[in-house]
Amino acid sequence: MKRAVSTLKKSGYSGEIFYVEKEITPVEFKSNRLYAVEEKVKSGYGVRVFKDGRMGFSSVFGNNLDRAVESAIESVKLGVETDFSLPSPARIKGSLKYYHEDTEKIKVKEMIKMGEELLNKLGVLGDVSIDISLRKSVKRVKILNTEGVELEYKKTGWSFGAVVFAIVADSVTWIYDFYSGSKFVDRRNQIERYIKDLYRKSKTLAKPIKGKKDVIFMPSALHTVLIPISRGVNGENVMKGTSPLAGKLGEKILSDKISIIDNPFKSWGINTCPFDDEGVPTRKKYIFRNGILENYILDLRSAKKLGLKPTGNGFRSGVSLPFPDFTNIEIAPGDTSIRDMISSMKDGLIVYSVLGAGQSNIIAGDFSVNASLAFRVKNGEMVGRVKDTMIAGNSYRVFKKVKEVSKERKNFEGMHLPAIKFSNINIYGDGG
Amino acid sequence: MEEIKRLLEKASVDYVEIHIEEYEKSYVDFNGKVLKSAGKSYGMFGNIRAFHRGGWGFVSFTELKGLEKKLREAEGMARLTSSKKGGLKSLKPVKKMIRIKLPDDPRKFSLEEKKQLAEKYNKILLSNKGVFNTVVGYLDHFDRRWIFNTEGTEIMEERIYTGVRMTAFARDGTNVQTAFDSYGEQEGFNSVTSLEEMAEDVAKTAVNLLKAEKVEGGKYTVILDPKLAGVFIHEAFGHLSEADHVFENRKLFEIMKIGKRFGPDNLNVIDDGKMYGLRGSYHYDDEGTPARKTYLIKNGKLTGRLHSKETAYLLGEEPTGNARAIDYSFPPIVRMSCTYIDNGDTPFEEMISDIKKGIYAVAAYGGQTELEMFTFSAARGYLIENGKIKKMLRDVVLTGNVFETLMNIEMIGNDLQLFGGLGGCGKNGQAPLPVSDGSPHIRIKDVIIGGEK
Repeated sequence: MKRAVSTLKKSGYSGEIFYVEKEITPVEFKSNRLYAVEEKVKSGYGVRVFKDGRMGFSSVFGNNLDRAVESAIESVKLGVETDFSLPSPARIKGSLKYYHEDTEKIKVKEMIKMGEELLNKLGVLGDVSIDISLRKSVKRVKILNTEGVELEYKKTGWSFGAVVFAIVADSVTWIYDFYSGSKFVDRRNQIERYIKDLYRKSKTLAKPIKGKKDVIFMPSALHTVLIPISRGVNGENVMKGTSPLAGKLGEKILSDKISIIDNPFKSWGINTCPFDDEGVPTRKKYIFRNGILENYILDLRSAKKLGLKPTGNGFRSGVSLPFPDFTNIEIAPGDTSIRDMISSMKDGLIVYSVLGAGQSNIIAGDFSVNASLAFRVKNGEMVGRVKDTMIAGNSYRVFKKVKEVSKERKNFEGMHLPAIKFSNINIYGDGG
Repeated sequence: MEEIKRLLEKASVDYVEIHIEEYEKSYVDFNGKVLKSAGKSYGMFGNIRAFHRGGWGFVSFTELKGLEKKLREAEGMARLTSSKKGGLKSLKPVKKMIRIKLPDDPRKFSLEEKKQLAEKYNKILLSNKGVFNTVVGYLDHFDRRWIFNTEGTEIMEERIYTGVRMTAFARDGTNVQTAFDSYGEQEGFNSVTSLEEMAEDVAKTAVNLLKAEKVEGGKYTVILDPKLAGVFIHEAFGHLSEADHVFENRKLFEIMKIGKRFGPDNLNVIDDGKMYGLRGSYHYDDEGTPARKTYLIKNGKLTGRLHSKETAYLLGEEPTGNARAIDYSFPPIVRMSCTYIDNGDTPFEEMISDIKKGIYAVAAYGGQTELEMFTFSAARGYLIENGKIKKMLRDVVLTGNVFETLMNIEMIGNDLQLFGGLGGCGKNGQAPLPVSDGSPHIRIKDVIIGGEK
């Protein structure tokens, strides 16, 4: 890599070599039995080359760095115009927690044993089909550029989750729970409790519900309303002008009960890291503080276009070009317990999972989903599960009408989220 | 490659497969007026997959060193997971080399020519009043795959995918609407050089959506256009025909009984990997099984399902050549190829003529399914009133139970079309897998549509 960088420099180019190596070891249980153990190793390079305000790029999986450098130089001529420059060495925050030696060393046999135990615990539910997935990963990232940046880190990853499928009260029911972080955590008991509780609640059916009602999105379903907002603050969409949040820094966008944080410093978070995939130091920041838009999610390119400082959010998919992306998403807790949120509800829904999130006109903020695991609440009591129920609305509008945010939070797929109660959401339940 | 054959002779478990793949891609992306990226990427992926008494081990890599150690690792994992259950349907070994011969092989064209092509479409989109931003992409993807296994199979197959995608963004105040279309098949460069009309349509649709009204939630008689009907049959029904799902899920196994009625007499649903030239086609799947045409539903009754060598063994049926991997960093799993509803005989005019109030749902934004439940977002819709197509609607999301919905198909058109594009299908973290899907227009009663109103 060093040789490639000095070759670029000598030929009068500025440029950057990004290297990533990822080793994933999944242990998969399918339909109540151990199905497969795998080890996936992928490594490759992404090469960006700059000259006279133009950029070339190439990438390779495997070890043929020379070919990627050659191809990147060739594509400079095509003229992708750029105005940003690569970062110079900067202070990188030390002491972050993202590499855990014991997680790297955990044995496949131990993972199998944990999976088997969870399988047995969930097996008491009777006629259910259980899938369990445990995976550990080790990732190495290296970035060298012609401005003198020479950075590398190594991090571990751990995820543990289960999906239970069953026919409950004549309805197809999927219940799942997924934990992700960068350190091994034994989640057997939490997963077991969570799934068993929902399974029990699914046994009663409620009458269909229709009209404008209060809806509580639990952490596992919050992405329904969060996806459009996260697209809206993404520098790529802000820069293009497709985001409704373009030009609105400092404005009140959401209810003052809502604070959304991008936290790359979270201890043992799944996406905790000291610098992004462009070599920019990461930092913790509010995206919304009490409803006010404080920051966008920016990489070098979108930051330059918008005349803002990069936020350390330039990430890549494998060896692709960088794009703006969140690290660890957190929503600040409120002061109401979930129990109280339910007991103060007259008639509404509590939603645990949905079908079809992120498939409407998300850039405009719209969502329209089937509440695949949701319960009707009447006069403060969960009275039963609803079927064939659509929930639709616009994220920007519903996030202005937040009634309550729970004080409890949950790690769901690496995000740290409370439950949120929104008012006046349109529900269409089939009365057939 | 001789080294790999020798390595297979050292295998000590029931079955071992070695996969090696090389690829080369060229791409050009415009974002508004700006060329966002243009370049090439290369690489190789490989894996060793071992099977022993019902258990699988899998090791993937991007460097070809230390293969014997990797073989031993894969074998060790297979032994760890083995039980007495399970097996694989064995096949006659195949030795075959399939090379591409295209006069307009996109690899013969310069990146500059590809850039000019994307730029041409981008300019058409941007020249429409109301369109304030665009995404236009060109992509070609050459792929060479080797499959070796302990049964003696040695296959090399080359494929090339060429395509263009375009998105237009239109804005009126805070109202932002998008429209999208793409073309992508296993064809040469010339297949994507005259898509001017597609570009015009995309731009006009985005602008027209600004004035479209939001649909009112409720139950409707719905006509699906060939594109949306294709997505529906792929997502809502096709995945249920994948035998791994059927085998793993007892409830589904009970539902998916061969011979059971699933729709009207004139409903025929087919998966055909041999539609060469289409995006979803191939000669051999990634276990070396030849592609073939499989009737999933014939005359309204379930007649077949899609198999790998393992699921064929487990269910006592024949492999259908549907074990596929998006690339060789993944193991093959049961997937579709080119999936479609076959032609019926109702012309579109007749289909619409007696609808008092209904919805014509066109093209797809996306869809998601959980076994028998599905949701789909149409890219746009139109209100049908008294047999006539009226105002444009947006945010049309359909939901329901696939089995009830199939039984509710009232009419099947005679205008079958299949679509490839540049995206594909996702399953178990493997996306996008090149597939094609399609249908004629179909009419379905009692479809639930979600709406904010």
